[in-house]
Amino acid sequence: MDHDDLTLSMPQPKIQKGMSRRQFLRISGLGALGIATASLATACVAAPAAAPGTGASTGSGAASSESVTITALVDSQDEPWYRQRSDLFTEEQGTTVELEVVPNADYATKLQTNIAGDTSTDLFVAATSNGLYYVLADQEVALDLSSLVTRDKYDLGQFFESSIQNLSGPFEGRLYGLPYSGHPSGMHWVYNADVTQAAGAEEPTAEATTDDLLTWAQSVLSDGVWGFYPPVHLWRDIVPMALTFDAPLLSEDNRTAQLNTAEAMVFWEWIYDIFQVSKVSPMLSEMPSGGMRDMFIAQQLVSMSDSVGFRSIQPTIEGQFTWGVVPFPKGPTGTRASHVQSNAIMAWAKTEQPDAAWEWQKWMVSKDSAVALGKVSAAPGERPDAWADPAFADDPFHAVTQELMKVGHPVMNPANFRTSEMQTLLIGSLNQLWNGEAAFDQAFFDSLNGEVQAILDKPNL
Amino acid sequence: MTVTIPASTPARPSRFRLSSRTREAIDGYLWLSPWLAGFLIFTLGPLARSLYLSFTSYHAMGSPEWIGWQNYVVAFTGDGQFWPSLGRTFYYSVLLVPAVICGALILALLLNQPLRAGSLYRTAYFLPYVTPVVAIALIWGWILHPQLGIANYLLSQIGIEGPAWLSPRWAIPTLVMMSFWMLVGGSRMVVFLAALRNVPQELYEAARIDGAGKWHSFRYITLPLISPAIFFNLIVTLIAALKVFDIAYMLMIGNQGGIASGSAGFSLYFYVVKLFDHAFSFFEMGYASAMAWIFLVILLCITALQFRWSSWVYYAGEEGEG
Repeated sequence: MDHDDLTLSMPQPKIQKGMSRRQFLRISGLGALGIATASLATACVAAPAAAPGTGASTGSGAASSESVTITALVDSQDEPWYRQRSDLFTEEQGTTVELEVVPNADYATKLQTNIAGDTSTDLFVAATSNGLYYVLADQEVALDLSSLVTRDKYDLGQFFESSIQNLSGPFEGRLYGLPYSGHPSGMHWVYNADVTQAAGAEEPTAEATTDDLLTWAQSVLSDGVWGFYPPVHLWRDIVPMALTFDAPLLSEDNRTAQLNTAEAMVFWEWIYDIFQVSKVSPMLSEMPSGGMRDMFIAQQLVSMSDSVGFRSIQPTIEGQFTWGVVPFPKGPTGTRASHVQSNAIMAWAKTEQPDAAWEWQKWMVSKDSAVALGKVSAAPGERPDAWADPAFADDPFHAVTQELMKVGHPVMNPANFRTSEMQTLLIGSLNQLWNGEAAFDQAFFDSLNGEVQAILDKPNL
Repeated sequence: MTVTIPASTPARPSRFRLSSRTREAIDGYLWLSPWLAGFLIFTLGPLARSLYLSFTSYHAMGSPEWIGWQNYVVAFTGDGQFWPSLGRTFYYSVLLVPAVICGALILALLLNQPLRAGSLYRTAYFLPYVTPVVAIALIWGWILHPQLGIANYLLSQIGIEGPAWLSPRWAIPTLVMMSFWMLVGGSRMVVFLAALRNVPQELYEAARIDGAGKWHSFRYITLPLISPAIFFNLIVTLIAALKVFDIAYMLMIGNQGGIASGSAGFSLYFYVVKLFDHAFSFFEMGYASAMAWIFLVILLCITALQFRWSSWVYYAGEEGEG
């Protein structure tokens, strides 16, 4: 008999009036279990209700078309634009848009998690550059908009041709998103005009060739000041530089690697020259953590080839020094190229508000939205009429972007959508060359070509 | 003899009355139940799910497609970075673990002395352990910058040309140095300090009377008595080292944002970094799950071997029992 039994077997007024420790434990334990069970039950019941992506709005949306609510997962980069345009959308169309804003770096992970958990928002955005758009479309997680386009006789001709090709090309014309922003990759040759003048060099022109660039970069070199930095860190930027040398790095159907062709070797040698022969660029290990833009701001780098992301440092350098911009030079045969990247607004295939979602998509890619985007972001929305808007007429950087868009090649990504995998392999391997830790020869590129081909031969994601 | 029980007889105790042991067990499980529910839903459930996913082709966005052992076969035979990433991870661990264990023990021995402002020292040494990894990666990035960093500047003052610390050749030793700085004054040091304070002082006094010097006292009293703490630290440090991810990932991303775009290239592409890359960059959740399970088996084997070879650990309470 334990102490507890003894206690219970004897009449003890104190216990009858109060509560034993064991009784307290039992009751509070049951209480804790009850609360935990209730919480879990609530979560389980709430999740399916929220799953269609509209939460409480699902019910209310079904009850009355005037109180429809749609949800959208957007990245923080263009948050003011999303808010401003969505508020106007609500005013005009009566549909409430709830924005879930996620930092850019976490966006893809958050979206994946939402979709895997069947709790996605009605709408989300995805880029072609990292391949996310293609995976979402290929897995049919996103709504096929083709029937809505046909139903509304929606004019896709209002967008850049390459943008629509980017989004529908790999899917036999089926469209899974509308292009709301885009750019021609890192093909703006930005330079410090003051340092150029001080070095006694001529300012770069739009007619310069890649050979001219090397000569120019050597002429502006000085102690602690580098001449030029090429964008060698992302596949999307390497592609157009190679195209300038008439060297498509993938075959037309994007299924065969062409990294070791004669034209490609001329291109690679040009980059190698920059880092290891002429040494007009700092090696990666010599760069500060902020990269080439920090060096440009600090006037340790006279020029670089940058994307529309250059806009983010423009306010910092205004007033410090004079800068200029021209398109990336023409290649040895006079070819000029760029690589159009698109960011699309997509609707979840399981949305319970497909019509409201479609209306918001159209609204966000309209000319007004596209112009508004250009005023708060790096570039206007992806349509020629917005790019030609007088609001951007006096902007020299924009003028170059416009020129580059005209020679824009549609996205050249692996046909099996394994862009990130290929990029990791390619960039990691090429860095050995640029850092001088591997020998530049045909064998290196034959081997690399084989490794890239092995990725291209894998099944679709 | 027949006994008739009058209707007014007070109720007997229920036939289903639980024994005190059973009631006690129920109470215990009641108290455990919130944790158990959490464990089942948030740990065991995902574990089982990931085991299933490891046998599928799954991209986190569609439906898993059963492919049997294919992910495991690809990992062992068809993935060019699988073995190199495992090799890098072990190389890093072999350099880091002995350094951290020895360093933490030395620090604990120093802090175990009667010091003025001892708690201040303990806090100072503990600080790197609780500093966010992102901040550490940024600050060390500045310190170790080959041209602008203070490390190479100081080396140049004594006539040594400092290396490119985050180049492929130096990246792992550099990361070991950074991790050592982070870990040496952390929880391992605290565990050692607690163990040292539990060593009975009379043993030292007896040894001193017998003529033992400081080294002999340390060798024959301190070390055996804190051997369980050493063993514990060895296991957790080795597992932590093999799981290296955050700081390597920060350094690998590079200043342009793509993985492997940093100056270190593939040299910090450790096993868990690769696993993360497959799951969240390459959208190969099935393959990443297979990698996770392979890693779990490796960790279990290593830990089992450590226990098997733990005869050097002295448990005071077990003396004379066997």
